[in-house]
Amino acid sequence: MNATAARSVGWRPDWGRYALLWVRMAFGSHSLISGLNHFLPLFSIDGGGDPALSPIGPLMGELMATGLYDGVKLVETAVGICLLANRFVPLAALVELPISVVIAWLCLFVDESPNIVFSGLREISFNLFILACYAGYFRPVVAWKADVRPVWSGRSAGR
Amino acid sequence: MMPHQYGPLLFATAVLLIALLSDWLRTGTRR
Repeated sequence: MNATAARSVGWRPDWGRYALLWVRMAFGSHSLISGLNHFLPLFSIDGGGDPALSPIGPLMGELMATGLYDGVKLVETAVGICLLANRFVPLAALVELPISVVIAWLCLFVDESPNIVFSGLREISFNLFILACYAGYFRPVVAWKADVRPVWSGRSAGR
Repeated sequence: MMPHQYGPLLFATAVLLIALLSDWLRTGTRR
């Protein structure tokens, strides 16, 4: 058997793993550059994406005025590093979820321009896909009547 | 689309292709 035929016989790719890799890289690199861009001027978003020109503008202004926007960008930067480095991935996806929900809501129901709607759909679907890939970590959270396992009792690590 | 929108998608695709190629080559040499 030649080498190419051997490869086609032996190669049984796990497409789910590759899909996760693609989404993790796309979502992670986008989070990292969009977070870093707030602290270091890497590129300008004039033209299509200036929030001041969108109906989202007033909310963005308040977020910046209250300092919450700096926190959001800090979280985005950290999440980007985690996703790209494949470290703390379920935690990173969970921490990013509230931000993704807000972004998706603003893009889909407030701004509504096609370019921005695409951004919103991409943000929430990438985040939910990563969470779905790590569902096993979150299923214990869905407890009908949960036992108390406080962090100070030593039982917090128990199953 | 702006560069900061399609850049991550291109980057992810490049990483995916490298992973696919390296896995494929590794499987081929092992058999």
